[in-house]
Amino acid sequence: MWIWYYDRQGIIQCSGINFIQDLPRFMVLLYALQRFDLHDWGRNKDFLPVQVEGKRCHEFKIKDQELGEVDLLLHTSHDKRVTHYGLQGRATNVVPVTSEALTKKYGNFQDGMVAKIFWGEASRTSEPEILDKVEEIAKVHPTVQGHIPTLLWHHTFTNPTSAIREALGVPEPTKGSRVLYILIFPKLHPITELDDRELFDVWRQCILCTRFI
Amino acid sequence: MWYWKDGKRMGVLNDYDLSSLANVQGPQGNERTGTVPFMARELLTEEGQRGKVKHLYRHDLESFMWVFVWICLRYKQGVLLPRRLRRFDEWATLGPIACGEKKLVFLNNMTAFPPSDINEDVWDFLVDCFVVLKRDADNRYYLRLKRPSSSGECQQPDDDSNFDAFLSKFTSLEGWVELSKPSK
Repeated sequence: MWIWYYDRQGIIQCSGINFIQDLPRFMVLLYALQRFDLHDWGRNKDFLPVQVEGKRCHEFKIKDQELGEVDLLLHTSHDKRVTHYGLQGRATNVVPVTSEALTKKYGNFQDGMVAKIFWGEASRTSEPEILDKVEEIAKVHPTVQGHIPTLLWHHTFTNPTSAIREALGVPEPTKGSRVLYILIFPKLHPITELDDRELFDVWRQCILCTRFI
Repeated sequence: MWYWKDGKRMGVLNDYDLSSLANVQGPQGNERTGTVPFMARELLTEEGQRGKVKHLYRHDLESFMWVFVWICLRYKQGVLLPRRLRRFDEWATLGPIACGEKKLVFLNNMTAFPPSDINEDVWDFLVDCFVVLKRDADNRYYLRLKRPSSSGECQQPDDDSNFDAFLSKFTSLEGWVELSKPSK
C-alpha cells in the first residue's frame, strides 16, 4: 500500500507498506486517518463556511496592521464566479466579495468588489509587488492612469507548499513551491461585453497603456 | 476589462500575477505563461516554446490583435455565439505549435473569413493590422534567409528598443484614426 499526498506543488509518495505483514502499522494509519478533521485532510480552516440567503459562502477574518480586523464574505456560490478546478496550476478563483472593513475605508463600489484567490509560485515576483510598480508608472504616465486595477487589500498566507517537504526532508523542497494569495479589487466588466466602436475604444486604451508597462 | 468613470468607459489592463518586471533577472517560476490563442506567432514555435525566443514588446502588440479578432468573431453584443457561428474554437484546445500554424493559415486567408455581421470599419481595420504584422514577420524572415553579402551590408539588428516606431505602424492606420473619433 502506498500513500500519496497531493497539493499544488505536486505529489509526495511514501514507500510502500505491506499491511498483511505489517498489520500494526496499518492499524496505526487507520486510527490516525479516523482522527483527521477537515483541516487535517487539507481544508483551509481560515475560511469558515456560512449560509447567507440560502447560499453557501465563506467567511474570512484577519487582523490587519492598518485596518484592524478585516472581514471578508466570499460569495463562493455566486453564478458569476470564475473557478479553476484540478490538481495542477494556480487554481485561480475570482468571486464576489463583501466586507464591512473595506467598505468603511473605501465606500461602496458601483459594481462591488471581487476577491482573486490563487496559489502563486513562491519564486515569482508577487502580484501585489508588481501592481505597486505599475502604480509608480501610472503616477508619471497619464496614459496609464486609471487603466490599471486598483488593489484594495491583499493577504499572503503563511503556509507555502514547501513547508511539508522541508519537514519530511524531500529533495528540492522549494522547487515549484506555491503560496496562497488573496487580492481584493473593485469589480470590472469583461471586454467581451462590448461591440465594434466601444470595443475598439477600450481595447485601444489598453494597448496605449502597455507602451509603458 | 473596463469600468465606468464619469460617464466614460475606462479600459483596464488586468491580471499581473504572471507578469515579470523588466529590470529583474532570474528565475520566474516554471509555468508556461501565456494563453495560446492570444500568443504571438513567434512564441508558438518550437524555439519559442523552449524559451529560446526573447519576449519582446511587439509580441504583446500582436497578442492584442489576436484578442481583438477573437472577441469580434466569437461574440455578439456580449454573448458568445453558438458553436457553428463562432470561429477559432480549435485554437483554444490545440497545442501551441498547431495553433501557431492555424494563425498563419488565418493570415494567408483573411478574405475567406467572411465577417458576416461584424462592423465593416472594424473588420477593415483588423485586416490592416494583420497585414502589418505579416509584413513585419516576413521582412524579418527574409532578412534571416539572406546570406551575409560581401558588400558589407550590415544586418538589421532585431531589437525592440523602438517601441513607438512599431506602435505607430498601427496607430497610423486609417482605421485606427477613424475608429478613434468619437462615435456619432
